[in-house]
Order: sequence, then C-alpha cells, then structure tokens
Amino acid sequence: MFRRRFSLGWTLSVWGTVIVILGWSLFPIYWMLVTSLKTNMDVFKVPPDFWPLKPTLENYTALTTGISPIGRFFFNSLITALLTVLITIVLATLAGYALSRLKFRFRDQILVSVLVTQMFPLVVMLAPLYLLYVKAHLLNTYTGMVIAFTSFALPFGIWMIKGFIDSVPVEIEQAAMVDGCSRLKAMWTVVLPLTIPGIVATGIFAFLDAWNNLLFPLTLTNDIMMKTLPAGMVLAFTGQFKHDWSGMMAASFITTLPVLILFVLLQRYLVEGLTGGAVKG
Amino acid sequence: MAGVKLAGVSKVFGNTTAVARTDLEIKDGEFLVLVGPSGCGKSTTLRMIAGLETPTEGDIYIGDRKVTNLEPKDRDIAMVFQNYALYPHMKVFDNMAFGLRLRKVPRQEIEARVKEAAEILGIAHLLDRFPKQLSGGQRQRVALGRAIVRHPQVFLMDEPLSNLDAKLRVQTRAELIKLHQRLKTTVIYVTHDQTEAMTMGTRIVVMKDGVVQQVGTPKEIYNNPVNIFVAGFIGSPPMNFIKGIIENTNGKLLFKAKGITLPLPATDMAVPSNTEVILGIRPESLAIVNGENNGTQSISCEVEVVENIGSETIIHARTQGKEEVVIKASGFDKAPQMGMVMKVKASQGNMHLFDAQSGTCLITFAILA
Ligand SMILES: Nc1ncnc2c1ncn2[C@@H]1O[C@H](COP(=O)(O)OP(=O)(O)OP(=O)(O)O)[C@@H](O)[C@H]1O
Ligand SMILES: [Mg+2]
Repeated sequence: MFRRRFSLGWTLSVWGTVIVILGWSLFPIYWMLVTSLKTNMDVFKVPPDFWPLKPTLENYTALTTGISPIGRFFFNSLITALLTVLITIVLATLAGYALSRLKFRFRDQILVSVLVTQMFPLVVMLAPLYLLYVKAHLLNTYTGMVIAFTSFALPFGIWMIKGFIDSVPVEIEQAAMVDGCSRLKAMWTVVLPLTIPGIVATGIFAFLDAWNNLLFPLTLTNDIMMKTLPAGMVLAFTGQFKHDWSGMMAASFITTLPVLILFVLLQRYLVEGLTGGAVKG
Repeated sequence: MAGVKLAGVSKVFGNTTAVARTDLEIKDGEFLVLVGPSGCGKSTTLRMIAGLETPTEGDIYIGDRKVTNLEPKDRDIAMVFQNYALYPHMKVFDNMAFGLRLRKVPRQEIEARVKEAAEILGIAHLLDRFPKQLSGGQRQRVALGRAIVRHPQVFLMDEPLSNLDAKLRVQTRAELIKLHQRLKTTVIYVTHDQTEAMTMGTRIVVMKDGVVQQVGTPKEIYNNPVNIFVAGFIGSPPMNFIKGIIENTNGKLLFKAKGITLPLPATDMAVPSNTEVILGIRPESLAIVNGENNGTQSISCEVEVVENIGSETIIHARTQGKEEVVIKASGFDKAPQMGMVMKVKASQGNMHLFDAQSGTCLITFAILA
C-alpha cells in the first residue's frame, strides 16, 4: 500500500461534502434545541431567529410541572425499550445461531418466513392486534407493548445476527470444541464475542423501534399513565386548538437525547469488525 | 498417549460416499500420514476421529476407549486446522491457554506449559499479540502451540502447512518431525502433498475416492505400490507407465511395446502370453545408455524437454510408441540436447507390471544393473 497525496481541490470537495452531510443530519437536532429554548411567541417570528436571542428554560421546567406526566412517559418508554432490546437480543442470537449453524429440516423456509411479518404495513395489523390484546388482557400492560415491539424488531435481528455468525469461520468454533467446549460454551466464548457488532446493531435497532414507535402505544394503551413518550407527547402537545411547539420541541429533545448518547457510546462496535486475523485471509 | 483404531468406519453425505468402510490401526507414537488427491476423504476421516463428524457406520477407538459417540471435547485430542482457526479476539497467550483453562489446569502450570511450547516454537516474543498482528507462518506456529500445550493423546493435523510459502513449508516440516521425535505423541496428519507424506510419515495411508488403497511405510509404498494409482501418486516426478503386452516363452517373460522389447527377470509368477500390461518404472531408475550399447534392454526415445534444476536434470522424452518417458539424472553432465534420439535403460530400483484393466500390480522386479 502507498499513501496517496491528494490535490487541494480534492481535499476541499471532500470536506465540502462532509460539511453538507453533517449539516443535513445535524440541523434538525439543532433546530429542535433552539426552538425548545424559545417562547411560543418567538417560534412564529418571521424571519426566524437562528439563535435563541432570549433563551429560556421555561419549556423544560413546564415539562416537569405540566399536567402531562412526561416523567412517567419517559419511564414507560425506557422500561419497554430496554425489555425489548433484551428479549430481542437473546431470541435473535439463539435463532440466528441455529439458522446459521445447525442443520434441520425446513431451515431455509423458516428463515424466509421470519420475514413475512415485515411484509404487511403495521397499520393493517393494528385492528386485529387490538382485538387480540383485548382478549388476552394485554391492553395497558408493559408485557403487551414489549411483545408488540419485539415482534417487529426480531426478524431484522435474526437476519442480522445470522449474517454475522455466518461470517465467523466454523473452524474457530470447532477448534473451541476440540479444546474442551461444549457447543453452547463454544458459542458463548468464541462465537458471540465475534458477533458483538451484530448484536449491538440489533440492540440499537430494537431500541429505536420501541423508543420511536407511535402507533402501538397509541392503540394498545388507553390509560394515559401507560403511554410512552411519542404517544404521550402527541396527546400532550397537539390538539384541535393548541400547538405548543416549543414545549413539544423540549420534550422531543429529551426524547432524542438517550438515542444520541446510545449512538455515541456504541458506534465503535458498529464500525469495527472483530474477525480480522482469525484464519488465513 | 494412545493409538487410534477405526473399525469399519464409513461416512456418507447424501449420496456421496466420502469414506468407504475403512479399517485402520494407528499405533501409539506413530506419525501417520493420510494422503490422496483432493476430495478423497482425508479430512472427513480426520474429522470423524476428532468427533466433528459422526460416522455413518463403524466405531472409533482412542487407546482402549470407544469414542464413537463422545463429543470432541471428551476425546482428549488436539487439532490443527488448515486455516489455523485461531481465536481472533484473544491474544496469543490466551489462544494457547484456552484449552487448559477449560480443563481447570492450575494457573502456574498453564503459564509454564505455554512458555515451554512458545520457546519450542520460537514464538515467545509474540505472546502479547493478537492473531491479526501475526504473519502466516507465525499464526501457524500459534496453532501448533495451541495443540502442543494440551499434551493430548493424539494430534490431528489437516494440511497445516498448505498455506505457507515453499521455503517456510520445508522448514516447518522439519520442525514438525523434530517435534514429533521429542514429544512422541501419536500424530495423524492429512496432506495432499506426496513429498510431505514421504518425508514425515512413519507410515502412509494412500486414499482415493474414499477408499484406502495402501497402508505402509514410505519405503514400502515407494518400492512396492499395490496399484497404478499409488505408483503414480507417490514419487516425484511420477512413475513412467508404458502400455504393452507380455510374451511368455516357457516361463521367460518379455515385455513388448512399439519399439521396445524388454526381457524381464525370472519370476515364479505365471503371466500368460498376450496379457495387456502396463510397465511402470520410476524416472530415477532409468539411466541414459552411453556409446554404442545396442543391447536389447534399452529403450530408444527422442528428447523433448530438458529441465535442469542444479543438482539434477529431468529429461522428458518420447518413445517410438509416442509414450512419454521421464528420466531423472544427476548433475549437468552429459545432459542430452532437445531433439536428440537417445537410449535409456533400467539401471536401479524396481520395475512393476500392472494389469492394464484393473491397475493392480502383478509383479514387482528388482532391477539388476
Ligand atoms: N459436509 C459435507 N456435506 C456433503 N459432502 C461433503 C461434506 N464434507 C465433505 N463432503 C464430500 O466428501 C468428499 C470428501 O471430502 P473431504 O473434505 O474429506 O476431502 P479431502 O480429501 O479432505 O479433500 P481436500 O484435499 O480437497 O481437502 C468430497 O467429495 C466432498 O465433496
Ligand atoms: Mg481436506
């Protein structure tokens, strides 16, 4: 390998592109933050202020004192999202491993059928799901929501983790079994550590799926105390006659924050492949 | 340490028979090489011994224990894989210590064993690295080290040298031989390279299409191949084969092909006249006839290619019957020119007569110079 020297023009255009992409993805977050620091009067100013001239935290304090239990929404979101992540990772890892490594009848058919659930738009399922939940007494329960979220995150997770396990050479696992591992132990000590990027990606996906989901909590709960953030916010800040944009932006910012932190913490795993040097490449 | 026994073992995948019913006894401390062309079932045999593949029928014994239904971890074997299969997320030390830790070996002993193996293999300075920070040769050593530290009953090795470059391969080959002499542990070694088989094996098993063709010491297999496949597979350059017929006059055998009439040494074996046979003779058994020797025993042929590799000269020539004959002569001396017609004769070693139909060896003669 040799190091290429880049011309000035090339360097500039690379940086230009990077800046445009960054602006594209970061501006909405910035705008959300700025709006949340304005009063509702300032929000409608034309031309808008791109910088809060009289920044105020009153929208944030209002969140804690307002009539809507934002804290409770946040807690609901957190608990359902974390449970969804946990269950999805465990199930997707076991299923992904089996579908990648074990030989059994109808394996390929099962693999494809896993995706069938993704073929229908969510909206189509809402009504039947609602009726089912009524019968099963799952309305207004965490269990109900976690089941719904998980069933949507799982197919992606299974495929994702199966793909990662496929890329771990079988010989590594066999070496571990010869070295003294049972199959399960070899999976735990050798295969899983090499599948971490896939597991993390699956976890993040499951988290986002649960955290951002609006339709499930909106339909599968009718008790305000069981709403998650997105559903709760829709009820709290929008209505026929009110639009508390800056309040909504404050709540949105708080909703986005955990996701941002999650990404920053875990991006290393998403980018980094761990399998280098395992076998002759 | 222990021997290994295969009793009527076979393996069928779907409708391919990877290994046909095989009986094989490997003695304690032996370096047994399984050799044969690609797809002949060597790896499958090895993997059945390792427990990574379940035999379709038959039983496998390690020492006195029947291991047919034991998991790999309970067989007390160590295996070296063709692609090394190191644990990429563990440092070299941990790669080697892994199996010992699983077996609850005390910490001090683990360190001592890993150190010792690392010294033997010359990788003591690499213990703190990850596999991806090693060269191919170094990874190979780590893979060997991981097997050695275990002090297993049997080492199983599946083409462990095939990913190394030629020079490193020869070097590591010698080291493996030394290692075996030192550890005296049973080794079952798979390769498709006949040179490796000849140089390393105390005994060789030649396989073809899942069937064992011959088992014997390198010398036995080289001198007395049981059929044309073994004869052609072992030895480099490969044995020359010339099609012809036998003329039997009162027990005196004469091999006849176009332009060749070769009296054969006396034998007890009765081969009827006009039997179609193939005469096999190794390139190193042939010598160029100098001067005006017009004896009937020589074969005249035309030189096509002369390859000089320093210590020896390989001459490719063609008989009048248009069959290729390769002669291995030593040094540069008297190397013939391309296009020249020369005479060669059998001068040392053995000559073999194979049945033209079945390929089995009918008679092996010692060549009387
Ligand atoms: N898991 C499997 N499923 C189906 N067929 C298999 C399987 N493993 C091996 N075979 C077949 O069994 C035969 C023997 O394979 P094996 O791997 O033992 O060959 P080999 O002698 O090790 O060859 P090579 O030198 O190429 O490694 C081949 O025809 C192969 O296609
Ligand atoms: Mg093989």
